[in-house]
Amino acid sequence: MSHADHKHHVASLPLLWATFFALVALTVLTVVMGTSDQIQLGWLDVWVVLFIATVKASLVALIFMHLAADKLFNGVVLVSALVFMGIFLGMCLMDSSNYLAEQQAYVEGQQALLGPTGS
Amino acid sequence: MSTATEHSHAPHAHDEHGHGHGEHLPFQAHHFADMQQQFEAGKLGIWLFLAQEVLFFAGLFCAYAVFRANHPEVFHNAHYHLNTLLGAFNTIVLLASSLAVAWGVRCAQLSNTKGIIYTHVFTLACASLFLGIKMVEYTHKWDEGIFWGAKYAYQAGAAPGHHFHAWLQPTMLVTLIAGGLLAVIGLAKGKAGKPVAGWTLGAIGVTVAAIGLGIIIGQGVNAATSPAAHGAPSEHAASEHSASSDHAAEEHAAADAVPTPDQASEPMVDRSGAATDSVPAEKTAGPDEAPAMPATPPINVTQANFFSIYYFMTGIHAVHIIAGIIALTWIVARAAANHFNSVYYGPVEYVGLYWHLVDLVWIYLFPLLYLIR
Repeated sequence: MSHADHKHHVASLPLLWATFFALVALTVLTVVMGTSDQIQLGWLDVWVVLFIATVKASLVALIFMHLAADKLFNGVVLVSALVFMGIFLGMCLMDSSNYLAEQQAYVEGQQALLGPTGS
Repeated sequence: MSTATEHSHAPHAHDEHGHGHGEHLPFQAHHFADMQQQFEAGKLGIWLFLAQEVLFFAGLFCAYAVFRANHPEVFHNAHYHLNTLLGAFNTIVLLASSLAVAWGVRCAQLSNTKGIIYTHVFTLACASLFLGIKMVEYTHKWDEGIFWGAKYAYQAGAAPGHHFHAWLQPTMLVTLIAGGLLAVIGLAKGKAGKPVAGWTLGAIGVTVAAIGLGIIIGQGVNAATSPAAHGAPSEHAASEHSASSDHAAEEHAAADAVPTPDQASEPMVDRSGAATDSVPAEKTAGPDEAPAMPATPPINVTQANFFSIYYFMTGIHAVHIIAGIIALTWIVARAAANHFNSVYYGPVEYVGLYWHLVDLVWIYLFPLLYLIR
């Protein structure tokens, strides 16, 4: 094929800036979620924080790294690495429930500690 | 063209470079049929490299996940030592650098050489700012005896004999002066008609000087947030002290299934024995808190484990930043030599993709290390 007819995706400046501001807003949101005493979600906390991080990562991958407009195969390479990472982490975490007794004791201890002071 | 989503390389774009179709472009390797094929092969290569990077960091994230899942109490206590504001600031610095790099790729696609140089020099400044702030964070921890593994010996406030922060001031001065000098020499070279040497030296100068700027910002933020950031650790140190003095009493109460508040808040800070006291810590979470499994030996997981993971993950990430600085400087030098245009800009795109991945890793590291509850 002649190189006269190929096309490159050029991201528009307003899109790049909008992505940046969305990323900053999500960073502020995750700091507020992670540090505010008003918003306490308990065990959900880490998942909410990870969900926000994943939204941010997707924005960077799709727009800054051009995956949204790129050849599908480049995205397949990245996603397959993430799938294998998921399998790896999942396998390694399979025995975590064996430590539940210790964690339960810790949670009870925390409640005993935090109960009176309420901090 | 400013908001166009597709930029077509019309034949006239090639005529400017004075070549026909049968001829090789200056940066076309002979084994590629055309520039498009070369670009796409290079891009697939860099994506495969990034996939490898994801799997490489997966090992570190796995260590993190396993330790956190098994011992959330250790992670919960450890995060008091991290300054969330500095972490958030560094996150935004990296996001800004990512924007600049994406913008730089756009400039390259539009054959805007000056744009490539400006965006990449800005990115270099962000990279060094990040490292300068990280330096402040590291030295602050080292002065409190927060090291990795067996070296962990936490003491609230500066520990005697540890004066790493004393190196920050000279480092700041040296980087600012040396960086400024390099930038001035670069400017002079540029004016003297040597754009490549000029921009390269200028970029290195900005990079070095931004480390000093990062140290200033890091120390400023650290000082400003000091009371808030240290409320928890000092409380924490107090409970550590009472825990060690009440140690004997606690041993008698070891049969209790529910830990005392002291144990819960500070389950194993004196585990290393090198801190304020040298009492070996029998009061670990292991046997006390899991009476259902008396045969299990005490699991030797302490805050030292958290900080081993912390230093390893942030340290490897910093190594990636340094590698990125070298690659970005290379791009600045080649852009100054007028190598890049809408037909040939692969290296700008590849280095940009790598830089975005470094940003992606930090997007996960920040909440996982700094925002634990």
